[in-house]
Amino acid sequence: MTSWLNDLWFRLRSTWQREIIDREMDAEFRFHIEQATERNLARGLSPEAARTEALRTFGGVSMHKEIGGDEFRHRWLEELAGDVKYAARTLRKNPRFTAATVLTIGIAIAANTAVFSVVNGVLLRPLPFPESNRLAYIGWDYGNGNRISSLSFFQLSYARERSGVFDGVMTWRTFERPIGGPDDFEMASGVTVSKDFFQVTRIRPVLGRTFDDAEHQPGAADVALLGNAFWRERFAAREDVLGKTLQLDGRAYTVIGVMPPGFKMPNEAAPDVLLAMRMQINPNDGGQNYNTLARLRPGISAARIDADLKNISRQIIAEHPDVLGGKKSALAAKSSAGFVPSVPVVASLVGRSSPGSRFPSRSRSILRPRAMRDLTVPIGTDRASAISA
Amino acid sequence: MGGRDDETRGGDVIKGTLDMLILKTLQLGPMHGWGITEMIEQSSQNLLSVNQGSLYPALYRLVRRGLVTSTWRTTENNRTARYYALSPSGRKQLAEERAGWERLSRGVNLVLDLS
Repeated sequence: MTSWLNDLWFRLRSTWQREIIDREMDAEFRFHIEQATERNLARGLSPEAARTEALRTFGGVSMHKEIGGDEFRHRWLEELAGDVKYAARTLRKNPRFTAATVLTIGIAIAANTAVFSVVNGVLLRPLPFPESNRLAYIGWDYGNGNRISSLSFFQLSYARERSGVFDGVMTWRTFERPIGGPDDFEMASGVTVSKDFFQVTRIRPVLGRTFDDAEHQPGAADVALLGNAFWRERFAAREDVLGKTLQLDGRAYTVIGVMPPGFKMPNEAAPDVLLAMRMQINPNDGGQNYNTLARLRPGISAARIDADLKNISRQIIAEHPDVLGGKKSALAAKSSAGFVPSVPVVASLVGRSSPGSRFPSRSRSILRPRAMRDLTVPIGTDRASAISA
Repeated sequence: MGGRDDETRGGDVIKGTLDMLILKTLQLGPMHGWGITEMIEQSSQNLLSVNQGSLYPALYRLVRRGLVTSTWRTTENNRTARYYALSPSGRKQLAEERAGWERLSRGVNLVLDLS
């Protein structure tokens, strides 16, 4: 129960804390690169060469952040145990939220198994996409309340390709990369998005097109979509931006589209650039690092989703016993039942019939006072603006 | 997604030892990531180089394990940087890792010196 609550907290809080983490890491890495540049200057390199060399030895900023961010989030996860008390108090004050949450937790405990499970994204926070009540996160349940709210790309690809209940299953990763020349660069924030990103989010570009399947293959041409604000700032909102080239981390990307104004990622970041994620599916990749968001088909019952996920899980196990052998042995210590069916927590649990009947959002019940200080955020307020206020 | 192979290139610090070297460096006083890099490189007479792709994850890991604390501070040049410092349990960990390392290197050397 505690770990389930932890997981809830983790999901709720990590999204906005991620912005803080990212900002801090930016500052830290920038400092590092600047120091390295100064040293290179002192060694007699030209300013340009000094900076280029500093960037080169530092490597990909995005990679550091992805790795580092995970480390930070883990720590928070541990701290979250202390939040549970506050959670309980808040839940008591808010009967509707309590009902759904307790139900969720109850189901999860009842399941007590190892397989896919769907975490209702809507319950936790409305995602900034159309019909967000049909969006669900998919995680992996190892049983005994031991859940991981993300998947490996291998697991994700199974869910994507074998499921009969999803309209799409996708993941994304954020990055920061230098944009422009070596001597005059800025950090651009962006996301790489997997196949199905646009099906799942139901967001369409205002200009140009989305990525096609071929562009998600390794070795495909480098193409990018631009965030709306970025497009306005950098390209003066010119429509002939399509086909233009963008220098990102020393690579040239062809602009193929522009996102609509106000577009945000599930963590509510507004990226400057979107790139196509390219990943080879590797059954031996045990890293469950990918937040996975799926769009449920309309009119699918909870039982059906459950059956579907069970089925997929069985296929993974049957087709890759070698891979799961390792996992199973790790599991055995925790769950005597081994792999048994899961009970997904379903979106319909929290029917959000109209925009007016919103679920209490994270801004009310989720953030503990210490973190929020004196900020109060009315429901529906954009979190980023609240934080920067 | 292919992370790079950080561990094996010549001169790069081996993964397991990096934590120990960071702890050792911080024993001298709080330092930012850049300072740690410089210190390791200099004090090893440039025999070792710290791969940045390992340094920051290692630092965050040490913070998470409570072996190292971090705070934002102003540098001598009035810049803001994140400083890392050794915690009491970090000090203990360092002593343990050092003992382990000495045992390991003695053992390895004994084998290599066989003639």
